[in-house]
Amino acid sequence: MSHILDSLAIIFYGLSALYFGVRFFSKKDKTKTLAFLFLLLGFVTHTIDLLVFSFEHHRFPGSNLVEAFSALTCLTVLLFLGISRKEDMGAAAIVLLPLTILSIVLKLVVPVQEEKIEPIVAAGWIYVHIPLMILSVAALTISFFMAIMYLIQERQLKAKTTSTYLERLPSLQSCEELSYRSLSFGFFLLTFGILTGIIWSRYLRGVYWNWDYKEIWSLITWALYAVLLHGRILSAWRGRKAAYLAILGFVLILFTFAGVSLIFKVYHSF
Amino acid sequence: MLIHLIGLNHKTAPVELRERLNIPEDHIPSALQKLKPVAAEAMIFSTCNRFEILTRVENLDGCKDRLARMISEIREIPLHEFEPNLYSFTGSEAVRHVFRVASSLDSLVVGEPQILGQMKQFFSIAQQEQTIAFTLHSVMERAFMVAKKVRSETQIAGSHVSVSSVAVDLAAKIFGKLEGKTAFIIGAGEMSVLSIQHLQARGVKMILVANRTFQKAAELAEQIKGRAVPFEGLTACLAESDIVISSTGSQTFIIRKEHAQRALSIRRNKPIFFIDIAVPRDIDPQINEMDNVFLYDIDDLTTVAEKNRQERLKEAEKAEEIVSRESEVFWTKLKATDIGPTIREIQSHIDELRRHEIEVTLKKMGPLTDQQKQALEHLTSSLTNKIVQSSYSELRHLANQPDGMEKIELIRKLFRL
Repeated sequence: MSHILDSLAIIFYGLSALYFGVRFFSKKDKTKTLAFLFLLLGFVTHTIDLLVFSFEHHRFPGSNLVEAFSALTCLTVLLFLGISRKEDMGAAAIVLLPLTILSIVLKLVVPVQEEKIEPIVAAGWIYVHIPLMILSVAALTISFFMAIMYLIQERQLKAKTTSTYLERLPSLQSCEELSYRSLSFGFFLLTFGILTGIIWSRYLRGVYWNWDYKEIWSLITWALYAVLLHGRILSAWRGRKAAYLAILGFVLILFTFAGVSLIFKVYHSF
Repeated sequence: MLIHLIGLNHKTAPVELRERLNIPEDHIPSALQKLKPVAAEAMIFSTCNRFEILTRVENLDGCKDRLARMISEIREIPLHEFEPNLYSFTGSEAVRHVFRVASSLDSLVVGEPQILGQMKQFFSIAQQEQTIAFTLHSVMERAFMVAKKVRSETQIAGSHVSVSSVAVDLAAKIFGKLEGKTAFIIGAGEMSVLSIQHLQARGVKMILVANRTFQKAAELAEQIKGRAVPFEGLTACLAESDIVISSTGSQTFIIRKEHAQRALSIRRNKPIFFIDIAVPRDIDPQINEMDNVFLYDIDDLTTVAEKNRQERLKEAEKAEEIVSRESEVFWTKLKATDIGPTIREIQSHIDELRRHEIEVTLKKMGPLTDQQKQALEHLTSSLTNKIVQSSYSELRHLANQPDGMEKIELIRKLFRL
């Protein structure tokens, strides 16, 4: 069942990516509807796939990096769809969709590890902690995409040239606002995610904070985003500066999300 | 099919001549009526860039001269003054020309969208005056269709090519929607007024006007429904403005980095788009390096406009192909509806049937006298002639209906032509 859904999602996303690609390179709008149709189909299949997984394995797909990656791309696509209702996000789709497909391929290839579920772990907080963290990373991913598009658009405007392909980006103001909004949303979730992690840790290990690498890096990332938000609100950081910081923040969160567990030994499953 | 087009445009005639030939819209009906004696169907296009008469005539010989004389009579301009500037097309060439005009390939600014609307307007005037029937009706309908096709299949109208609309496009890239934004005009040039009109059309809410002579600022402000502000309060106004258009005659920079810096800190780094259309420039080019500040001078805008124009010309080549293909297809179809050949074909078709039947009958009946043979010949031929004769006028009527092309085709099928 899961394999069929995975394959279907890959096909739908693939077709969508193809149509986005055609639209991007040929600059014709005809393929837009098809691109979104397949994206929507891909998203629905992807979501059902993850739900089926949750029921089959009695847990949220986030017990290892591969599962979490797939959940992350699914949520990012959801946010992407939301924003696309108002803004032309075609350029971002070119990057997002291959990553989404990669995440599902990995899920297909890497065998599911049946975790021994510790009774306390199953007891609630993990169901909050992991989804919150993943949704937060999804929001911050969108913030990152908007920041990148801001910088591309800004560079073109300053250089007074337009690239043949990157003509259709959201306006600077939209990039800025959306980057800011998804950043605030992501930060809010990140804060709650870390808090639930602390509570979970208390139940599981009896201590609130373990000084685990994952925890340390989460804190560093959180602090950077806190500084950025603070700067935005109080010192009116905007434009290039804000975009660079959002990108730096994303690099950190990516490292915390995926890199830390690959490099260091941590007690987090990833 | 005897279609003829005569006229002149911005490529063949100077503006003074085009102005004199231009018929105001409310005079077009009477001009069309005057054309009735020389043309079976007629339409006039009269815009500031072109003056053309499209006709269907019974006889092409001397048609150009007759129409040229008619123009001279209607506009009361001696023939020799405009005759060298005239071009004329007949048949498929005329159709292709009309398609090109409708698709905005023959426009001064290739791809500009107004021409199609203008043509539709002249088309409906001719319809009201009943100076067009089936043939020109189908030419025009097809021209509108081809124009639509060109628009959707090529990027001929993809990007703007005038400096002021390029400026507005850039503003849209920075701000997205321009609704509720504030623009600030320093100095008063024709270009600024033009840009302001574009901006207002896109929803810009507040317009501030400054000039070294306050009186001038007040006058312009009244004209464009803006607010005049004193020239000395520049920085305060900059802080309020999202878009700044400067076109003073100043020999030195009037807006420098420190002005922009102060304005930005007051407006909490909300971006400002500076448009400097003055020569020599009004705004220090260095400010383009600042974060959240965008500066375009007249050269930058012209470069973008020129680049867009080149893009359009590339797209125009694709459009020309579509027009050529479509006009050929249409011409073949239109020729088929030409009633003359159809009648003749029907006639010979029926006659052939008649001869064949006589032959068969003669064989069956055995030898007949010459007189009897003649009588038989006479009977059958008068019968078939009557049938053809009576359908002739009806066919002619059918062909002039809006869906004549389909009907004629049906009839041709009926007779297996």
